[in-house]
Parts: sequence; C-alpha cells; structure tokens
Amino acid sequence: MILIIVDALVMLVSLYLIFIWVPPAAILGETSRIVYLHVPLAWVATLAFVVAGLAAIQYIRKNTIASIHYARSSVHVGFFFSILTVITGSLWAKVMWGSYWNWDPRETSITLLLLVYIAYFSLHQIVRTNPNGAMLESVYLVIALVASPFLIFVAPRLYSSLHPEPVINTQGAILLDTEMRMVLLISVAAFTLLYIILMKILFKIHKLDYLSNEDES
Amino acid sequence: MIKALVCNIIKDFRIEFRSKVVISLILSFSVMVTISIGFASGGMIGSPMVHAILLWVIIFFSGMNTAHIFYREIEENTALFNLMYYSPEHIFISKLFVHCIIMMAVAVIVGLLYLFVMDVSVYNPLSFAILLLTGSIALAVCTTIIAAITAIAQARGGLFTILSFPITLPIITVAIKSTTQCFSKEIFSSFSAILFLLAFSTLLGVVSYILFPYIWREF
Repeated sequence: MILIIVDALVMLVSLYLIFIWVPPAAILGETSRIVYLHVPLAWVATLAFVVAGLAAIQYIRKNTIASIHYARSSVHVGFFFSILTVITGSLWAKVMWGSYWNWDPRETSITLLLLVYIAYFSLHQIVRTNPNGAMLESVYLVIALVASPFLIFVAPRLYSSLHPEPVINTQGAILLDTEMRMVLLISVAAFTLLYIILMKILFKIHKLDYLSNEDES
Repeated sequence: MIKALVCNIIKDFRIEFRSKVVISLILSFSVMVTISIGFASGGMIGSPMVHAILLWVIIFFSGMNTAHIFYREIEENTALFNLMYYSPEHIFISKLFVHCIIMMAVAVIVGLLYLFVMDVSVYNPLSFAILLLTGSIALAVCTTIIAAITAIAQARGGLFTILSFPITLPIITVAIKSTTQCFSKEIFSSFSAILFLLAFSTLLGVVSYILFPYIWREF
C-alpha cells in the first residue's frame, strides 16, 4: 500500500514536471514532451523482459515455482509496456516524420520483440497443462533474452535509421540538458515503481491460478 | 565422446535417409513453391528486393519441415532409449549437425532453383554463396532448440513456426538486405551481415547447448 501511495505521488510530480515545468526542447517544440513517457515506457518494457529472462534462468537452475510466477508476471507487464512504447513512438513519428509507421529499424525491432512474446503466450497456452510446461516456457524465455539484444541493439545499427540517437547511447552519455535529464529520471523512477506494483499484483494472480490448478488436479 | 557423437550423427543420417520424410517434405515444398511463384509471376518480378524476400521466405518455410528430426524421437518413443546410450549434449550436437547439413542443402537447392526459374542475375556470387550458407546455418542453429521445445510440448506444425519466426526474423532481415545487394549492381561489403549471422548463431547455439539437457531430461 505504501508503495502505491509513493508511486502515485512520484507519478503526479512527474506529470506536473513533464507537462508544466520543463521547457519544450529546441526545434522539436511541445511534441518533445512525449519523450518523457516514451523513453520510460521503453525502459520498463526492456527491464521487464530482462527480469523475465533472469527469473526463467532461476527456475531452470533451482526449479522454484515462484521464479516461473515472476517470469510470467514480468512478461505480461513487459508486453503491456511494449505496446504503450509502440503507441507513444507512433504518435511522435506521425508528428515528426508524417506517418505513424515508417519501417524504421528501431520501430521494427520493438515490433519483433512484441512478436517474440506473442509467441511466448501461444506456448504458455499450449503447455500450461503439461507437467514440463514451466521448463519449456523458461527455456524459450532464456532464448528470447539472448536474442533480444540483437533485435534491440545490433540489428538497428546495421542499417541507417530515422530514429534519433538513443538517450542512453553507445558513448554511455545522456544527451539531454540538466532540467530535461532530471524530469526524465523522475519519470523513469515513477514507471519503474509502477512496474514493481504491477509485478506484485500479477505474481499473486499467477500464484492463485497455480494453486487452483493444483487443487483441481 | 567423439566416437559416441559420430555414431549418433551417422545414426541420425541413416534414419533420415531410410525414412526420407524430411528430405521429401523439404524438396517437394521448396520445388513446388518456387515453381508456383515462377508460374504466377511469369518470371516478370523485376526488383532485386522482391527476389531476395521470396528466396528467403521459401528457405525459411522449407526449413520448418526439419523439426521432424525431433518429432520422430517422440512419436517412435526412441527418446528414452537414446538417453541410455547418449548424453543430452551428444543428442543435441548430432541433431544440430544434421539440421545444419539439411538446411545448407535446402538453401543451395532452393537458391539454385530460384535463380534458374526466375532468371535472376547475381552480381556478387561469392557473397551470395557465403550468405546462403551462413544464413541457413544461423536458421538451423536458432530453430533446433525450438524444434525440441515443440516436440516435447507435443504441438506439431503451427507452434514451431510461431516460436521460430520472431527469433529468426533478424537473420532473415539481414540476409534479405544483403541478398538484395548481391542481386543489384551496386558495390557493397557483406562482411558486417555475415559477421552478424555468425555471431547470432554462435551465441544462440551455445545457449541452446546449455539449455537442451534441462528439457530433454525432464521429458
């Protein structure tokens, strides 16, 4: 409960800073404000998929049922945030490039990531009653975790992109001035806390689903 | 260890050549699709990119039939028998080897047939040949563990394609872009694409090798 209250406060502060306090970026104008939502959403989506992969590794190593609940919860949250990342990115693309979808390598890579996890959901539905289902899901999540850096970081860099240099780039520097950087970091913190809250809720749901299936069998 | 591995590879090849299930499926699929495209278009497709896309889509979907190398073990109940003689690592390497050889053969046959039927000119034959081989190896490496997952999940057909497609899409995308350059007159270097394909397949191959025993022993 405390975490929800803290996140609600941080989220409100973040929204105030994004839409009222921070000045618009030069050249990009008012549309640049979407970056404070788009980047944190993309960050949480990536974080969620990494956590899902790490939880899957933990399940493979230790066979603890809680790990697979964490992995499943994290995939669901990551999928939701990926969709929001695509939507906010498309809105910004429409304003900046004139079209919602431009087949830019970076747009394509996030879509590929979505396809990977759509495929995971298909696997989950098929193997949910299989006694080895959790292990099969875990192995697929680890494969997805290993393939993801190629989708997100390597493949887009092989070809020219319309997308601006990522905020956190190859030089490891954040290319924003101090005010914008502060607002972005607060927004990232707010969305990361939201991710933790959603994870806790979904973990309980998956645990209950597992226990009810155990009772039935 | 090497002897056991070689024995297992020879056994897999013998079974495959005796049953001819995978070979006949792949050959009939690839030949039919390539000739159908040729008939439908009347050989009038002009863009190098369209040719590259069609070629790699045919190779990918032809390769989807190779999952049978794992389904066979499950259907014929030979998986447990195999585990008595070979470690899961041996089984994985032999399946991977067989899969790579079949995929390379598929890529060469489909590649040559496509060039012949569609009358496509290749301006950089060496790069094209290396791309066909590295691309097919990358596809085989990435889909071997997926084939094992779908075989154990006892979900044939659709699931294998659904799980494989997003994981192999970077391979297909990079291969298509570089093959397009091979079909056009522009001067280019396919080095970064080949390096990408090799790096991707090596990493996924190593991870699959580590993970395979967990699913095969569980089964």
